[in-house]
Amino acid sequence: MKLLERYLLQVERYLPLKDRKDTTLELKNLLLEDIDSRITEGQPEDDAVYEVLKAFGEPKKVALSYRSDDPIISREMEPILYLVLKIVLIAVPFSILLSTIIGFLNNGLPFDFIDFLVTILKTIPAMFSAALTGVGSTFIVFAIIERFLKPQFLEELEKQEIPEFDPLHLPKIPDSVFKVSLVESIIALAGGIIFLYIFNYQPGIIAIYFDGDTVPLLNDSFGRILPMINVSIVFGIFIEVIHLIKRSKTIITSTLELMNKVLITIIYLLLATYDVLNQVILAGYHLEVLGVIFIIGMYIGATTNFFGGIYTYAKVLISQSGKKEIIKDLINKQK
Amino acid sequence: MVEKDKILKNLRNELRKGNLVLAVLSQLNTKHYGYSLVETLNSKNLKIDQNTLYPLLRRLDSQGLLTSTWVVKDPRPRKYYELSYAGKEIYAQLKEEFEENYHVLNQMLKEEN
Repeated sequence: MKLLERYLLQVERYLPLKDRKDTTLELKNLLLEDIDSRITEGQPEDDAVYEVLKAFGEPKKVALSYRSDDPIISREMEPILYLVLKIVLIAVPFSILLSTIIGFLNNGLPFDFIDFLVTILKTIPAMFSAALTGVGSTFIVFAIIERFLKPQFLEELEKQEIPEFDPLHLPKIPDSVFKVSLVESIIALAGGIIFLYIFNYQPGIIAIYFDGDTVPLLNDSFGRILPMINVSIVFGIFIEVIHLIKRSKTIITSTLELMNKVLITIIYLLLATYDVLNQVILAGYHLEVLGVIFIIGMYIGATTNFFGGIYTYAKVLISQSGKKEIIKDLINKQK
Repeated sequence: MVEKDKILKNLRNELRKGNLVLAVLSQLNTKHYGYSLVETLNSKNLKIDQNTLYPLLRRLDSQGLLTSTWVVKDPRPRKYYELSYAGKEIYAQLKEEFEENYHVLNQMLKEEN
């Protein structure tokens, strides 16, 4: 019955969020009815599951038949859109990075590595916003194609042969430690983008609001840590995007997550020790206690982040080594 | 030839689509869950695939034509569907429309012969 679970997991991926659990539960029970009736007729369980799933069809197609919404980009065009988006997401930020590097090397000044690094780090928000613009423009172009040029595209697409669906090729179910929570990932992504925007474009928002006055709370020291914060946020967004696409963590993304946690810990420690809050203003409003709370908060953040990261990673490693042991056992038994 | 087959397939699907909705609504004066409805329709010689019927049931349910209830009973929970009040009204109107169309079309097709 593992095959059924693998099948349902794939169907669930493409179902609309609304009623997703209910639809999957209903589908599972309905497929089980069919499987059971075949078993009662004398068919072996594995064969029954395989045949029922094969007859029911490819998970994505099944899930899409549950959707009644009319997408701006049709299902047929979706794969091409994703392909172009991938290219845009890599090419656009990379070309900005390249032009920054060339610009820096041609500025006529003697080469300074720290300056070079800072220039690169400062380019990150521009790369990010260019990628967003690229994604938006691609989407608009596709919407126009969809409206005016679609028939020719579809004819081309229909000529491609679609391979027959085989349930045995369904992806395996990820271990619980490798499961990605859709909501958590989306919140993390949205949070990352919001923080990236605020820290880089609207740092003045982080301020004391008193009596109609807005006094910025962060001083210039914060600007020196900002490139590191940017790297960490972009790195975090990158990991979450991989998680959202794959819908499962891997040992590689877990390692990247741990690396980012270490970087975040360093940022927390820097924030705690670098005196990033405007002390004069805090004193002016008799809010020195806020400074102390901030420092304590940063230390707590650093500790929980560091040990939390190690704990999560240890769980991943244990599950991995557990798996390896099972495989070893199987090999030994076969011998 | 491939083109012709494709056109025929599309037209057949279009013709069938509305009929299927009517057939499903006609059976839901009594409560059914997905699998039992497939069996019922198949036993009455209306071949319908499970992967067509189950999404259709949920669509009709979300449009308010059906009411659905989970019944938790051995061997497993089942989601039962039945015509709602609005569903009954719409079914009656559709049925009338279908009978009228059937009559008119039948007449036309006979003249053709």
